[in-house]
Amino acid sequence: MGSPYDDEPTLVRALRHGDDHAFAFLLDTNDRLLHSVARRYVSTDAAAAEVVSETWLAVIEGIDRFEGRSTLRTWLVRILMNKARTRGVRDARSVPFASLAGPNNDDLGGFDPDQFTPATSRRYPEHWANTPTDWSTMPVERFEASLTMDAVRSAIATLPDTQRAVIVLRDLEGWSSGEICDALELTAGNERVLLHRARGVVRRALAGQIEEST
Amino acid sequence: MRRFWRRTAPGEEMACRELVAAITTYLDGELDPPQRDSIRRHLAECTGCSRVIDQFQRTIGALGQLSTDDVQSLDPAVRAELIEAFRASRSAGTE
Repeated sequence: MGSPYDDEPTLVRALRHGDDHAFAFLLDTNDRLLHSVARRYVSTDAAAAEVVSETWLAVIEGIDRFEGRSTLRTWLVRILMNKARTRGVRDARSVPFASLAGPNNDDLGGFDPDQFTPATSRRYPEHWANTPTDWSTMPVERFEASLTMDAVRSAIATLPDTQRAVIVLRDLEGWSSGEICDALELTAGNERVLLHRARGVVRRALAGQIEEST
Repeated sequence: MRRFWRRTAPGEEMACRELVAAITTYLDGELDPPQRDSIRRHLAECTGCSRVIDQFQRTIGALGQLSTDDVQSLDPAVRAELIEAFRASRSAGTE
């Protein structure tokens, strides 16, 4: 509804014909997304704005090469990620790779292996050794506190690139798994494993924040 | 998906550790019905795992709150420049 450019083939055709209203539409509907993703890859707002501008210039140059096999926004994000990676290398900005997830417990939702009883346990192998904390009784404000949100942001910043891209697109931007697989060239199984690991890291960081402030 | 499940034979009780590894798949609704049902049976009896499902849902909720944060809106001057660059590239390309 609203704009004829909501129909993607129409939008792409118009872009190729040099329709600047079409380009303005593309800018206005996707710039926030690009800033949001870029912001997770570079250290400052200014750097993010630069990466986004570079992306738009690459889009202007490359629109004729867009084949329509993916959606436009997955294509935009793919270009952005390449620009952001190059930029990250140039800045020599290394996000500290704090191992928030701990060693080799990637599938455990950010829990330590010793949170579970051993596999050799007779009665209850691999069950909870310590029952996890009940978050449902905690005051809602604690989840919305700025320190809590800072903990979530820092946790995202420590993730490996692909995990970070997956969790940002899925849980912040609300993309479907299919679109993410397309933008990042992942299989569905892979995407889910990366998402699970990333959520585990964030869950652990949240636990550190909200369970400690009791 | 199979690999999450190899420890549980049919009819055997699922371990908490396996359930934790499968939470994202479960929340996505991507498990086969028998796998989903064994998770539900487990959750009905296990306080720890129910809490962890809740922790994951709240984690996802907290992530969602970030979607609107620290994102600048497009600077009007930059917007105008980009549109100008688009115009220039198109007229150069089609001549």
